Amino acid sequence: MELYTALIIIFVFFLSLALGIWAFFSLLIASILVMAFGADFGLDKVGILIAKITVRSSRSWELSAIPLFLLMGELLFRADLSRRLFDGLSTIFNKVPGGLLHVNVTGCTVFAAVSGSSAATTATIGRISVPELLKRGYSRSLILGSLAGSGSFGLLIPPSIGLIIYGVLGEVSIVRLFAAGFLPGLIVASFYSIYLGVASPRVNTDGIVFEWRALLGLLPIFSLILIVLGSIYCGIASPTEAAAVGVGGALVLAFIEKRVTKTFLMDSVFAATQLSCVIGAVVITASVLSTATGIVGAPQAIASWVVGLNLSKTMLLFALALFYILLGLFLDGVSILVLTLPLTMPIAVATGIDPIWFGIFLILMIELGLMTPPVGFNLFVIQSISRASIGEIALAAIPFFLIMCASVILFTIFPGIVLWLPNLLF
Amino acid sequence: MQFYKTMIDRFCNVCSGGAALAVGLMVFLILLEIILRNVFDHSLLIVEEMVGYLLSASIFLALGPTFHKGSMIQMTMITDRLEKRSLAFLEIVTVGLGFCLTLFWMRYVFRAAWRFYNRGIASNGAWPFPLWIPEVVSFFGLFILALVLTHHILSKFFIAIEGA
Repeated sequence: MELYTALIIIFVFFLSLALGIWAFFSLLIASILVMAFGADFGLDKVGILIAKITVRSSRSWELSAIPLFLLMGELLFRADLSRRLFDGLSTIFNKVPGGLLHVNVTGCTVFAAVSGSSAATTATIGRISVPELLKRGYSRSLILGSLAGSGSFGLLIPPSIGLIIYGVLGEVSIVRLFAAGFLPGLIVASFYSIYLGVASPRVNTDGIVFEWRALLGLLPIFSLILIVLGSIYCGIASPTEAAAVGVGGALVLAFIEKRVTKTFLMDSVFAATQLSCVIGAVVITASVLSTATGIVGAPQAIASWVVGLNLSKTMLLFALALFYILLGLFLDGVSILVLTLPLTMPIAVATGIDPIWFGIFLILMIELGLMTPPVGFNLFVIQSISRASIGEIALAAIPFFLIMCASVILFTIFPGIVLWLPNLLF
Repeated sequence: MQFYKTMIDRFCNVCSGGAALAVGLMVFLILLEIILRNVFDHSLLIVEEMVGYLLSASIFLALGPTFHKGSMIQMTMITDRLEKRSLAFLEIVTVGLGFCLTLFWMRYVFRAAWRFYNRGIASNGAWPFPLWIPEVVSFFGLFILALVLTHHILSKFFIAIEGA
C-alpha cells in the first residue's frame, strides 16, 4: 500500500470518528477503504470478508468471558455489597494515616478482583464511599482523585475485560495475562495508599471502633474472589468458565442478601448484555480492520520501519506511552486497545518486548486514559456519583495519574515485577 | 412517526430479550459443562461451539437496542459544540452512512446464510449444527439495527425541518 493511501485512510478514519460516526462504523469504513484501495479488492470480496470475519470473531470462546464477567459485576453492583465492603474496610483502615480514604483504594482493588470492568468498579465503590467520606469531612480532592485512580484497577487486576480483549486479539494466554496483572495492580494500589497516608495523615477521628462483625462482612466477596480465581489457577475452569462460575457465585451472594427479584435479574442481564454489545461491536469490526491491515502488510511494514530506526526499548516504550496518553485524551479504552494492537504489538514483539509484559503496559496506558479528560470514562462515572465537574475530578486525579506514570517507569526498569508471577505459575 | 417509533421499541424489546436469553443460556451451558466434567467425568462436547453461537447472537441482537439507547461508543467532542439544527443535519449524514454500511454488511451475512441453507452445511462438531441458523440470527440483528437507523434518520430529519 502506498504511503499516501495509508495516510488518507488514517485521516478519513479519524475524521469519521471526529464527525461523530460511531466507533464500530468508523472501523468498518476504514476496513473497506484499506481492502478496496490498499489491496485492490472488489466490493463483493470486501463484503464477503466483512460478513465472514465479523460473524467468526463474534463466536470467539475467549470473548464469551466478557458478557459473563460484566454480568457478575452487575449482579454484585445491584446486590449492594458495597455497603458491607465499606464497613469491613473501614474497620481495618480506621487507625491508619489516611483513614477511610484507603477504602477507595482497597475497595476498588478488591472489587476489581470480582469485576472485569473499571466502570462497574468505580461506580460500585464510589456510590457508597463518596457520600460517606464527604460526610466525615475528608478532602474532596483526595476522595475524587483516589476514586478516579483506583477505579481503573478493574482493567488491570484479574479478571479483566481489557486483558481478555488483549489476549484474544494478540493471541496471548489470558491465564498468564491474568497472573501478570496481579502484582502491578497491588503495587500501584500500595503507592496510592502511601500517597493518601502522606497527604492526609488523619488517624481515628471517625468514631469507628473495630468490629469483628463488620470484618466478617468481607467474607462473601473474598470467597467469590477465591472461587473465581481459584477455579482458573486450580485448573478446574478456563477464564471463560470461571466467569460463569463467578455469575453463579454472585447469584448465590445476591440470594443470601435477599436481593434476588425478577427486576434485579432482568436489570442485571440487560445491562450486561448492552455493555457487552458495545464492546463486542467494536471488537468484531476491529477484527475486520486488523485482518485488512494484515492483508496489505501494514503492521509488518510499520514494525520493520520502527525497528530500522534502531530505537532502544526504553525510547520505543516512551514513544508508545506518549502515543497512548494522547489517544487516551480522545478515545475510550476498548477502542484504543482494538485499534492500535494490530500495529503496536508487532513492533513490540519485533523489538524483543515480552507480549505478556506489553499487555500490562498497554492496560496501564489505558488506565491513564480513563483518568484524563475529555474522554476519561471514570471521570464521567464519578461525575454522575458526586455531581462534581469533570474539570474538578480531572484536577483531583493528577497526583494519581503521576503515581501511575511513575509505576509504569518502575515496571519498565524492572520487568520482572510483571513477569514474576506468570513465570512462577506456568 | 409515533407508530413507527412504537414498532421499533417493540422490535428492540424482543431483540434485547433474545440477547439476554442468549447470555443466560451461556451461563447455564457453561455451569452444566463444569459440573458434568468435574463431578461426573462427562462432557457435552458442544459447549464451546454453542456458547460461540450464543455470544454471536447476543452481540448481533443487541446492536439495534443498544444503538437505539444511544449507548454505542461515539466521539462527541465536535458534535457537542454544534447547534441543534446543524447537529441534526450532520446526524442525518452520519446515520445515513451507517445505514448504508449496515445494508452492505446485511447483504453479505444473508448471502452466507442462504449458501449454508441451500447446501445444507452443518458444523463439524460432535452434534452437527445447521450453520444457517446462527447466520440468520446475525442477519436479523443487523436488520433491526437498520430499522433503528431509519428511525434515527427520520427523527433527525424532523428536527432539521422544525429548525428551518
